Amino acid sequence: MTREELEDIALLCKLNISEDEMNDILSDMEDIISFANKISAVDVKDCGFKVEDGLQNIYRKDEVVASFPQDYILKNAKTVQDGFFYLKNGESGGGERLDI
Amino acid sequence: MIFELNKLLKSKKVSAKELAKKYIEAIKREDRRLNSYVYLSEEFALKCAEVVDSKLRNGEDISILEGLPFTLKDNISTEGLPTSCCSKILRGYVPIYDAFVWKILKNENSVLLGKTNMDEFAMGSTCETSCFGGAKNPHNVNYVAGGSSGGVASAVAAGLAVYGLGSDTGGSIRQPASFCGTVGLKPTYGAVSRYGLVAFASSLDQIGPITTTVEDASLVFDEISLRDEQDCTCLGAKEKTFSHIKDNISGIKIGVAKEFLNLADEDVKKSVSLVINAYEKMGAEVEYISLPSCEYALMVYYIVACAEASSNLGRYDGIRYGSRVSSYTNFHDMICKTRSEGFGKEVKRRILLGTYVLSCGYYDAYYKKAHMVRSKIINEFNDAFKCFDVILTPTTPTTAFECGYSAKDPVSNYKADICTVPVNIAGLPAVSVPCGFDCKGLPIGFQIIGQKFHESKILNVANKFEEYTNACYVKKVTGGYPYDI
Repeated sequence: MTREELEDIALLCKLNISEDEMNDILSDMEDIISFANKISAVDVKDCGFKVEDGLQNIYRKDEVVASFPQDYILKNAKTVQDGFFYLKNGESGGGERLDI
Repeated sequence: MIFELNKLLKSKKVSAKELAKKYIEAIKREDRRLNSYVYLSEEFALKCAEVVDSKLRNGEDISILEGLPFTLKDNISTEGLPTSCCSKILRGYVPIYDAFVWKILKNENSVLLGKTNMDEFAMGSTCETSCFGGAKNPHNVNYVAGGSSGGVASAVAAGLAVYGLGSDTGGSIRQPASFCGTVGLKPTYGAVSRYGLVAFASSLDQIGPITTTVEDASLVFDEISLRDEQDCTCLGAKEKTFSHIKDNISGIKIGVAKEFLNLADEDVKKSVSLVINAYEKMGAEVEYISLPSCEYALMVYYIVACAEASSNLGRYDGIRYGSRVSSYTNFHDMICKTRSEGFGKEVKRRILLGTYVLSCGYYDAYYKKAHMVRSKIINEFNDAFKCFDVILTPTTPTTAFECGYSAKDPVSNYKADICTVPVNIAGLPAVSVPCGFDCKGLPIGFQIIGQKFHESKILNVANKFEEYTNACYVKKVTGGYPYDI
């Protein structure tokens, strides 16, 4: 894995990697990937892309039932306004409302 | 122990409140050195105990787990009580709903003592990736309790809870149970509801009990293994296990997986050999078998588990719950800073790896291939179960690691899970049972693996060993309740 690849992956993960962490993480990732690469040698003919054979899905009746009250859903949010999750813009001090 | 305590409550020799107080006192006294609890729910526990006492005063009957003090791993959601997954990113988070397993136990008036320590988001084998610091092994506090359910195993082994519920994604119930000299049951994937379990790797996660005896594991499993429509994979158990744990095992066929035995330390090998002798004396037919594809189980595990984790942990954005950085310039910056400061090193490493194996150009080589190898491993277990009733292995190749072990390279850490991971890959049930001590006095455990939904069989085989040895490997750790009375 190259440094550029790691930076791209970190962006997809929404993680910042500092200069101090970069070399350690690169070296760990290389170790883990070369370890994982061993599966490339496994013969998988006759093996499908299936998992958990013998299991079945559990379905419930398609009935409308009450969900959580809105104030419950908002209980753990840091900032809330008018029943919405609310995100302040840190620099300007203004508001960036996220209707989700 | 559960039966004995249930009898004590029913005969009013001890009240539920007295029992809860004894455990709370023991936790306050002993847990300063063990760090097994991260949250103590004293007031809540005493309130639950009071309800049980009131029922008993009114002459009402109580169920088997009613009034018994227990603990939950800190990734099992408890409405109104903190659930942090021992991560900075969820510090202070209080769920708005109960996990299905906790709802069952709450309805039975089980007395929740608190939430126990774990590796951050259940990612680790030592409990040391916890943001609260790791739980210690009660047999020797210079050694880890194991992980990720290290807090539950440490608390149960030290007599700081009658039993506990942990979660097992690659061995997180069985490995700490083995390290701490307790019994740990990883049920079949789909036997116990995952509703309310904070997701790590959804195709591998499973909740199960850690107890002091096989009998207790059976009693707890029978209570929690109900069908749940809120988890679309949860069928529940096929039968109650407790009525089968004393069945005769003469003539039963046990396959000993030689690859796993060969990897073990000398002390572990010796103890497992004694287990094999014991089963032969009990009339079981024991044969050595080979499961060659299990060599690849670890690679499959780290690809599949990290891929699923990278998706599951995408929800931590600092908006809806959890911690958030105070200073940021825009939406993207806020999420990146929150996640970078909130997640620990191991969690970040697994999110990065998971995203990498799912990314364009690598998906087929890693993720798809891993699933095909997973099928191969499942087929190999299915073939083995055509000839054998159960498979026996050591639970871990070594006994507990010294504290600080997880600071070394990650691949060596991952290799320690070699005996437990294949079970999750194949969705099978397995139980770890204490079977000896190494030269340092640290517990050794062996593992019995069964076919899907054959918990009755593995608990039966495990219980017979405990009966045969008179549970002599369940070493009492002084300090906790009720061992010191």
